[in-house]
Amino acid sequence: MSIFVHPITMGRNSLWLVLPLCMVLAVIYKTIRVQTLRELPLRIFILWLYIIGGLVALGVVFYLLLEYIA
Amino acid sequence: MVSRKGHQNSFAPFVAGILGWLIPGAGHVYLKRTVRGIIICICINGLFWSGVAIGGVFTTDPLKQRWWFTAQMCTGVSGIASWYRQERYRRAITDQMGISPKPMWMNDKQWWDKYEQELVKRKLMLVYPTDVAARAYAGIAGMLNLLCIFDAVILAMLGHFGERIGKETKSSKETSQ
Repeated sequence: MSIFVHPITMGRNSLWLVLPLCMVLAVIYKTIRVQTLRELPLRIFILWLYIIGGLVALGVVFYLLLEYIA
Repeated sequence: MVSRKGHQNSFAPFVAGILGWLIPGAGHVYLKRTVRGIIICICINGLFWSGVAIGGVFTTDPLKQRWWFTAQMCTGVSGIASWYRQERYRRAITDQMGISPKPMWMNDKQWWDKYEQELVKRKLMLVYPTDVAARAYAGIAGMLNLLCIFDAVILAMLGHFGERIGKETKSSKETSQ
């Protein structure tokens, strides 16, 4: 099995892969948006927290919908 | 905050767009936003090749995953290199099996059954959840590069070259003149 050729075997609990994906999303978005590069790290971190927080909130809402309404 | 305005060049948006597509971040480097260009290049190529590392050579699949493939091709050279690798592997496999490299029509069940059985045998077949993670990484890298291409093209159209100059820097320059 070689990397870049064969797919890796993943368990069903691979949700942590969302974290680097959201980080790159925040980096790219803020890189093209910020006025000065000095404020970039803080802006990236805040946006990253917002995205993760939003996803967690969505997850909780859908969980509650499935548990108590559906 | 103001940006330095460069010479109005009617080809600049076109050049920035093409460069930004070919090598992610190159459009920004062309617009003299080197640090931003380098950050974009590392992040987009890193995300794309992380996806390929997770999903293997068939992460890029123009036959079965057209929409993801379209998004992946927005990464330029990286996407094309990954497509070329996938084509080479697919042709080598189908040559060894003695079948055509592509199905005659998309719903050619016989071709797909044979081909997918061979992929499973060679442990190259992407299955859930690896396929979702791999294609999301590589595809989102392409879509993010599209965002960067638009940014570079618009900056070039507005004639904004170089980093923004702060108010203090601008006023100090005016005082010195």
